[in-house]
Amino acid sequence: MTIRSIHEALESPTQNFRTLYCLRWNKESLCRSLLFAEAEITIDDKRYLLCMPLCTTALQYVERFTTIKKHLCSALVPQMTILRDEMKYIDDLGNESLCDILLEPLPDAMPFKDAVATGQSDEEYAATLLRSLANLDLELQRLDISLSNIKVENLLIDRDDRIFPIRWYYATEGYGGDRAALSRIESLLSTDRRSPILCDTSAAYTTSALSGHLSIGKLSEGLIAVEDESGWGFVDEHNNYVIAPTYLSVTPFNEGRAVVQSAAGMGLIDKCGNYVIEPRYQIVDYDLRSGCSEVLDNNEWRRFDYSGRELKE
Amino acid sequence: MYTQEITRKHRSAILLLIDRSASMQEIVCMGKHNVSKAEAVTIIASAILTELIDRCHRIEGLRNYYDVAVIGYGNDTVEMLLGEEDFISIERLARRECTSHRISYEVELPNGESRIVEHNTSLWFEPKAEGNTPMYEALLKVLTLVERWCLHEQNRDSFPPIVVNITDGEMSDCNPSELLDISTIIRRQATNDGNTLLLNIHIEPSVKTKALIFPTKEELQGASAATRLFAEASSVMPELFNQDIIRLKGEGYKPPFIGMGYNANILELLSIINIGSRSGPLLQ
Amino acid sequence: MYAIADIVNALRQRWPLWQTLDDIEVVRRNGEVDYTVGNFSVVARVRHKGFDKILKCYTRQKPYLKEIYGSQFLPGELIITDVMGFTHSVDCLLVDYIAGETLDKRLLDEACNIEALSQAFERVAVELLAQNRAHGDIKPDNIIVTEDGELHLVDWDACFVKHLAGQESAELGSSAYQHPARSTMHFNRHIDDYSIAYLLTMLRAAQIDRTILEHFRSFYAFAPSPAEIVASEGGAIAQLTEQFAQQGMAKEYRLSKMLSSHTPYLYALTSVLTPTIAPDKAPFEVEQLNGYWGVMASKGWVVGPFYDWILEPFGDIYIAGIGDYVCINSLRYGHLHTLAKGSRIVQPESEGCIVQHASGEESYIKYSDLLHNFAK
Repeated sequence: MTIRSIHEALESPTQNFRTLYCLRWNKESLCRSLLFAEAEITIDDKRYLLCMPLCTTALQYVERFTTIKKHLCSALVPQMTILRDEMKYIDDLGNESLCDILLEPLPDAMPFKDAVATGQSDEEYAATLLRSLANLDLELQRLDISLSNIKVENLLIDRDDRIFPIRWYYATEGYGGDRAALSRIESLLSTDRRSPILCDTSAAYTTSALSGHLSIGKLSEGLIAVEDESGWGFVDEHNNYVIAPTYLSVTPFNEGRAVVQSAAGMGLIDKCGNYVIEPRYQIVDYDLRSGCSEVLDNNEWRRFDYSGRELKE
Repeated sequence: MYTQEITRKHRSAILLLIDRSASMQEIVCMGKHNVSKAEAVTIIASAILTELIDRCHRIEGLRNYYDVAVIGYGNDTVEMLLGEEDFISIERLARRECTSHRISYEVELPNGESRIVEHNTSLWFEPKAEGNTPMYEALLKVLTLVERWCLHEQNRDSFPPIVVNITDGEMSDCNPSELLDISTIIRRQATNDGNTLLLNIHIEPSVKTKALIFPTKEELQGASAATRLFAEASSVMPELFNQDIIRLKGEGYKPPFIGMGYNANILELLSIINIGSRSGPLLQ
Repeated sequence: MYAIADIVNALRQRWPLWQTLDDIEVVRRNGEVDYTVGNFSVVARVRHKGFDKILKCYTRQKPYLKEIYGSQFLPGELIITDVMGFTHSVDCLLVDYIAGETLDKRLLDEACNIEALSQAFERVAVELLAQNRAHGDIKPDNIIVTEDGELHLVDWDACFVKHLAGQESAELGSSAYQHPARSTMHFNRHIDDYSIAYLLTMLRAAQIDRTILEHFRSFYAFAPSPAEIVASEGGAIAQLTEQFAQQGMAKEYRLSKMLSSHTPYLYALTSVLTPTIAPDKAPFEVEQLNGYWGVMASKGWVVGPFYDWILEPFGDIYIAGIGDYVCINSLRYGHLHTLAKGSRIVQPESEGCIVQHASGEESYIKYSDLLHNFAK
């Protein structure tokens, strides 16, 4: 089962879902978490998170939690349902198979990350959000549960500033497992603001603030494109130059290659800055899939392989 | 823990996970020849599979000491490369067709003479290098296979599976914390003899950066975030591997050792995989 | 570490690269090198100066081989090329070839003569225990059965010889045949004690309980294992021990009792396996050794020291106790009869004995009837 399986099923729900055949889905919401592929769907104007397990153990946490959650009474805790043999998919052997689906109702609320963005420039609103987080924490304590999955992306906030966690599939009995995650979110709303994080990875793997550049690109394959007065180059996570900033433009690295443009033309470099294709062409179009590059040279297209050797027809 | 010998009753499982993304087209030095990383890894992985078959060779025929699997990932695709969707026994592997990779070397003998020697390796799958690096998808597949193997009645008391992930770059379908999480879940799959061992080997021979091979915690201090990510995603090697690891690294190093290689060249890759697949328990 | 394929590849060459050997030819079977594989070696058949030999090529360096094998050990003898094109010199061993099949393979054969095999193994064991060395890795895989039915130990890499006294052993043997407490610190002439007792017990057990070999053929190992026996303090093997006593197999009873030893050393093993002599010449004396009783003549043991107690023989007949059982045996013919559990001898006489059964009833057993039944 892969994320493609759920995509194909959602494209034709009447053929691929046993009871949810009337669903409408939000194509932009299709994503993957640790053990589930999921999408936002609507049935009879109600929004749900439809989750397809990506391995056999994924649902065991939900099954365990639903047995202990029966007695819980709180608007916070959604009524999760496991629909057995709900969705058709094609397995590795090409056979049609059925898989269970987890359905989690979504509250009528907005993404919390938008509220955080507002809170970072509005101290009063930040204080409101911090109070809401504290209330969430109190409710989790009252219910004696942990979500084990709290992050900004997994929170919604309604008009009354009440916070609702989503993606409950790792929830367990016992309070305290979410304290660290809640602290991290609280620190985003504190007055001590940090420089923009370059990628949404866990703290240990974000780069420290990169200062001293006109522009900063995306972290990719361990290198970050930066623009200085002299041009674009690449630095590592500690802001050390790996490839000197001499280019007019660069693309991020993909599978060990980046397209660069110098005054003399476009070329292709490796992660050490060595030219794979010399920068003297009108266009260099690097194809990630094949590793080859189509190059326009004097209005004639030529083709080079991954190592920069020309491929003759 | 990690004491069960490999017997016909208690087989072991070895799973090779191979990056087949476009960057594996890069040319590297493999001994006396230059080949692409994809070819080098294919030759070495095939040599390891052949070695496992050979180790099972006895007077009466092949003994089924191992279950093996090879997964390739690249270009948004995750493929089982030995023709079946699950682990296969050594007997079944030996019956598969393979191609022969012949290469000639000029060797210098101790008496100063030179001689041309032909080296044959059976190739159990073809090299490929295309597209991006869907490592997460591949690890999900690993999880399914390893979980099923550990839960199987006949494997409950066996030495746990050994998974070796060979890559030259970064995953394109997950972020580091997701990689860590899935690696942790894989390592949690266990038999009664211990947890699954996950070795991650990054091949990127670099003259600028020293390779880290089965590093200690001290060696990892000051290492890059990417290196530390690899280390956290990898298993600590059990004691029975330590003697061979020390022999490889040198006498000055003390365990525990992390089951990983970073910036490894092809020779170092071969050494790590050799230890992972051959230094474990004895066959009885 | 060298790849098996690289060694076989080197042997396959028309002119393998030897450091010192000459007049050596690698034997082929169906055009291919005739070889098998061990944990650390490739073993090929060769002809050296016209003699059939075994060439063992080590896939890694191992300690003590020079001390064990002397001039048969050839360090760095064969030059091989690996997958990277680098050359290596591989240590080799050149020893005599023993034609036959392994005991492991023989036991898998439903038609094997288990009695003959167990007796042959006992002969090998007695001879080995009398030497000042030990094999270190006794198991069916390391025993060759030759055409004449005799057994020969092979693969002496884990051997103890007196030159190695004080060292730690490099190998521990297969756990399926070793005492669980055996460690590298145990390295002397007694390291075979447990393996011998275990394997001999199992081979003898297979004579009276067919499930023993059925299990071996399914799982390639005997049950219970040494670890199970020691952990259960003999409980795992109690049923078998009882069967031995019921059948009057006193030596086997004693061997099986030893298997729950807390240490790998079995001090009474040699005395239990002491060869016996024919009861040709009286007088016969009841004697004890290591706490157990047997019958001696002037030149040695006629009945080995296996029994918990033993009465003075009445001519050819003697009565002995083993466990909860009483046996009536003949010096010449061996075991004749075992009394039911709980029975006891009330009055032993020269022609027969009065037996009181567990029910309290008494009966008279005539020795001549037992001998008559035995002859039938």
